[in-house]
Amino acid sequence: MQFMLLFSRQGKLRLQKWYVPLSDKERKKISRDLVQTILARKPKMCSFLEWRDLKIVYKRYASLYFCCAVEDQDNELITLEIIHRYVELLDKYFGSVCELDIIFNFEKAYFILDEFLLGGEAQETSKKNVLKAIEQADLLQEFKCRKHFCFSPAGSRGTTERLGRNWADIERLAA
Amino acid sequence: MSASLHIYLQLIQENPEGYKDLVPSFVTILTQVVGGKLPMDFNYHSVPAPWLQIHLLRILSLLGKNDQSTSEIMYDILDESLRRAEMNHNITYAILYECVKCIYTIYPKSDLLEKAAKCIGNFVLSAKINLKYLGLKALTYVVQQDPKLALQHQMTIIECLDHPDLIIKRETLELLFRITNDQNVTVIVEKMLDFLRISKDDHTSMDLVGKVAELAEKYPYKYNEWFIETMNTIFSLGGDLLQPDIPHSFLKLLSEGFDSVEEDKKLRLFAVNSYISLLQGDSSKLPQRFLQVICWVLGEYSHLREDDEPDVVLRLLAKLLDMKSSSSETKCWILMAMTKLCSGGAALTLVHDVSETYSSSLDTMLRQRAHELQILSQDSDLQAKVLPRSASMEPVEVDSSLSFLDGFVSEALAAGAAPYKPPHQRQEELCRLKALNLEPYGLSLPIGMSSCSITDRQSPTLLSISSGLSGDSNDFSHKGSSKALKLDGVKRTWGRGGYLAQKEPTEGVPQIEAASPVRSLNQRGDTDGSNSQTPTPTPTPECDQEKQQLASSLFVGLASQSSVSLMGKFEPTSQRFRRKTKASGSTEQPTNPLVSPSDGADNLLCENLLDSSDLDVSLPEQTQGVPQDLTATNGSCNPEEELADTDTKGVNTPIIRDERVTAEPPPHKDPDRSKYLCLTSHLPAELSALSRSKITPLCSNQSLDVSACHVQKEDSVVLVVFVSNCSDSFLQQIRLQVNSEELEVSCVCDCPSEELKSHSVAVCQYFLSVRRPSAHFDLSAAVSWQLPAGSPQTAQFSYKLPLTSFIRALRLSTEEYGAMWLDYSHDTKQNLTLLDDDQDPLTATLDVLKRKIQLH
Repeated sequence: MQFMLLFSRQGKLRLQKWYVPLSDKERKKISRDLVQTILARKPKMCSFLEWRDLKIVYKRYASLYFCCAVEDQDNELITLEIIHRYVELLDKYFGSVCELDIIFNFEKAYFILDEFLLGGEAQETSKKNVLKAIEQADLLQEFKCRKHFCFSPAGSRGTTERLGRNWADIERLAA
Repeated sequence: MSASLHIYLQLIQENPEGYKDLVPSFVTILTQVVGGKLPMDFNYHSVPAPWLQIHLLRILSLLGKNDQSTSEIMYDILDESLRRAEMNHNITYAILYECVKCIYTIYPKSDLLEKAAKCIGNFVLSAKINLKYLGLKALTYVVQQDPKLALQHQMTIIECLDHPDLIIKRETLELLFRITNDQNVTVIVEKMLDFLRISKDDHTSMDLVGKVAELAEKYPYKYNEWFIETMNTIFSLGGDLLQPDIPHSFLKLLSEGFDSVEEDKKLRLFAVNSYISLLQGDSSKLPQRFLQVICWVLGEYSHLREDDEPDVVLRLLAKLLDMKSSSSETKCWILMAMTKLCSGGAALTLVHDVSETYSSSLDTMLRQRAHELQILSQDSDLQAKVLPRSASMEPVEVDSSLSFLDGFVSEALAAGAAPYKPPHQRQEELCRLKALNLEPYGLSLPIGMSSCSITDRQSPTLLSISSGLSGDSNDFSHKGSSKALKLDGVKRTWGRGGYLAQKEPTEGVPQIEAASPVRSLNQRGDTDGSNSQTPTPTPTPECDQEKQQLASSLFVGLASQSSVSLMGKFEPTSQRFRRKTKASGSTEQPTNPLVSPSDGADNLLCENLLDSSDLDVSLPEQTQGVPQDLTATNGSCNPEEELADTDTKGVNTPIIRDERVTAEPPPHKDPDRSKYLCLTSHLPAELSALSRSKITPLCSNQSLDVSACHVQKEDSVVLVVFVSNCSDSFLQQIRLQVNSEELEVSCVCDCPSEELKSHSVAVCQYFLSVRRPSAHFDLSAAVSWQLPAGSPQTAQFSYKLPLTSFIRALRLSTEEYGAMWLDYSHDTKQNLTLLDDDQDPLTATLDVLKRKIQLH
C-alpha cells in the first residue's frame, strides 16, 4: 500500500498516512486530485479506481471516505477488507465511531492504524491484539502523566492543591 | 510469521529460484491455516487468517511459475482452498481471486484450471460491481492462455462495454485488447476510440492511445483506409499527450511501406488526400504533433497526387505557417515540407515571401530552415541532389571515420597542435603526471588543459554518437544521423529493421471457414445470453440481437481455428524463452574455457602458498626431492597452467621439454609426446571441452602404460585413467583400484572390457569428491592384469591432486553476495589458555598455535 487517506464528504482531509516518501507539495496535489475524483463518483459505482499507475480502493462509511492506494498487482478485495478491519478497530475502540471521534482523537486513530498496518502492509490481523496494545499504551500514558505530576516541583500551595485534585480525577477515571 | 511473509514475498519477487526449497513449508503453513489450526483471534468473519492465506498464495504462485515439480506440490492445497472458500463474503472472494491467479500462473493442471474457470465465471456474472471488475481483471489475465473462456462470457462482456462505470468499461477494453486478432480489430479499435472520446483522465487516455496505435500498426495491411483514418483519430484525439514514438513509428511504417509497391502508393496517396482535406477544413484545432505528421507526409508524398499542382499544398502549408497556434517546432516542419515541395513554377513567389519573413526570425532553427528554403528553391539541381524525391528510404552513405576532417587535422598538426590521444591514454599520462608532481598547485593547469582538449577533440564523435542513438534503430544509427544532420533533426531516421519485423505472419483464414464459427458463436451467444440475462433486466429483443451481432463481430476469430493464432502468439514467446535458455546453456559451455585461465591464475596463487605442490601433479615421480627444480618450474608454471587448458600440444612442447630434460632421458621424449597426443583423443567427448590437467604417465612396464589426468567439471572433478596396452598380445582381466584417504572415489565407468587388444587404450573415469580438505590429495591405485599366457601381474602407482583443482569460482552478483554476507563470515572464537611451563608463555602459545593452524 502506498498511502491511506480519510476524508469527509465535504472533501476535508481527516487522516493521512503515507508509506512512500513524497514531498509535501506532491502529497497535497495527490490528495486534492483523489478527493475530487472520488467524491464525483456515484455510490453504485465500483470501489476501485485506476489512477495514474496506481489502483485506488475506496469505501464510504457514513460521512467518511476511506481511500487506499495500492500497487497494480495487489489484491483489491483484500485492501477493501483492510479498510473494513480498520473501521472495525476504530469502532471497537471508540464504541460506534463517528467522524467527530476521529477529529478529536486523531492521535488514537493514528495509533490504531500504526498498530494494524506497518509499512503499508497488514501486520497484526488479530483485533484483540491490536486493542490490547492500544489499551496498554493508554495505560502507560496515564501512568506517565501521574508520575509527572508527582515529581514536578510544587510551586505555591494552590497549585499543589489543584494537582491533588487532578490526581484524584485521574484515579477516578482510571478506576 | 505473518510479518516475515512480507519480507519473503519481496525477496521471492526478486529471486524466485533461491527459495524453491521453502515451498513444502509454505504449503504446510497454508494447509494449517486453511484447516483452521490458528487461534480464533486471527479469524476474520469466520475465515481463518485471510491475509496470511493471500500472502502465501501469492508467494506460491511466484515460486511455482514455469516449474512443474514445484507446482505439483501445491495442487492439493490449491484445490483445498478453492473448496473451502465458499462464496459468501468479500474476504472469501479475495482468497478465491488470489487462488485463481495462482492456478493460472503456475504450471497448469487441467481440473484445477476448470475449477478456476468456473470461479471466474461466477465473478463475472456476479451482480456486485466490485466482483464484476475483478472477474474482468482475472479474465484479462487468463484470456491469453485460454481465449475460449472469453467466448463463454461474451454477452456479459458486451454488457460491461456499455456499463455506466468508466472503470468497468476500461477494464473490458483491456480484455478486448488482449483478444484482438485481425478479424475483430476494427470493431475493437472502434470501441476503444469511443471510449477515448469520453475519457477525461490523461493517464488512461495516454495508455489507451498507445494501445490503439499498437493495434492499428499491427494490422495496417488489411485495411489501408481504416488504418489511416484510425491513426488520424488517434492523432487528433490524443493530441499532444501521446508518446512521441507513436507518430514516429507511424511515419516509419508509411515510409517503409509493405511488400507491394502498388499498395504502398495507394496508402500514401490516401494519406495525402485525407490530410489535404483536413487542412482545407478548420485546421486550427489540430494538435501540433498531428500537424507535424501531416507536414512530413505532404512534403514527402504529395507528388503522388498527379492531378493538381504543388501550389495547392504549398498554399495550405503557408496558411498553417501563419497560424498563431503553431509552435515554432511545427513551423520548422512546415518549412521543411515546403523545401521539399518548391520546384519552380508559380509557387516560387510564395516561397520567396515565406523565406523572407522567417529568415529574420529570432528562432535560430526557424531561421536556418528559412535559409535552406531560400537557397534550395533557387537552385533546383541542388535541391534534387539534397532532397531526392521518393528516396527517403535509401540509406545515406556516412563516413563514420570522419575522413573529411583529415585535411583539417593534418593542417593543425603541421601548425604544431598536439596529436590526438585517446581518453584512456590521456588519463594514464595524467596519473603519471600526478605521481611525479609533488606540487599540488602545479596540477591545475595540466588538468584544465587536458579536460579542455577532451571536450574539444571528442566533440565530433560524441555528437555523432548521440545523434545516432536518438535514431530509431541502432544498426542504422550512423546513416540516420548524417541524414538527420542534413535534413531536419532526428525526425527522418527511418531504420529498416524496425516495426515490420514485429508484424505477425498473416494466416489467410478462408472466408468459408470463418463463417461457420460465427454462426456457432451466434448460437452460443444465445445460450449465454439467456444465462447472463438473469441478473440483469432483460433487454428488448432487437437490442439483444444487436448485442449478439456485436458479440459475433467482437469474438470472431476467437473460435477454434483462430484461437490457434492466439495460442500461436502465446507460444512463440515461451518457445523463445526456451530457446533463450538453451542458448544461454550453450554459451555457458564455451565460457568454461574462459573461466579456466582464471582458475589457472588461482592455481598459481595457491601454488606459492602450497609450496608448489602442484608440480607433483604434472610430474609425480620425477621432481620429488629436486629442490633446484622447484624454483625453475615455479617460474614456468603459469604458462604450463594455461597450456594445460589448451589442446594444442604443439605450443606446449617447449616447456614440457624443459622439464623433461631435467628429469627424463631424452630419447623417450618424442614418443611420449605423441603418445599423449593420442591419449587426448581418447578423452571422453563430454569431458574434452572442459579444462583439465596434463595427462601424466603414472606407471609403465613392457606390457602396460597407465596415464591419468583430472578434468574439472562444472561441479566435480573427474579422474580419467588411461590404460594402454603396449604389448603385442591381449591383456585380460584388467582391474583398477583407486583409493584415497582424503577423497571419496566413485567409479563412473570402469574398464569397459575384460580384454584389452594390443595397442589400444581403455579409459576409466572416477568421480572424486573431497572427504576432508587438505593441501594436496594423494590417490593410490593398483592395476592388475593378466597376459594370455602367464600369471596375474599388478602395478602400484599414485596420483596427486592439488586442492585448487577442487575449488571452483563461485559466480555471484553483488546482491547475492550481499545476501550471503553473513553466511560467509567464518568467525570462530575460542578461548585459549596460555602454556605456562615456558618462560615466555605468550610466544610459546602463539608458536604452538601457528604450528597447529599452519599459518604461513
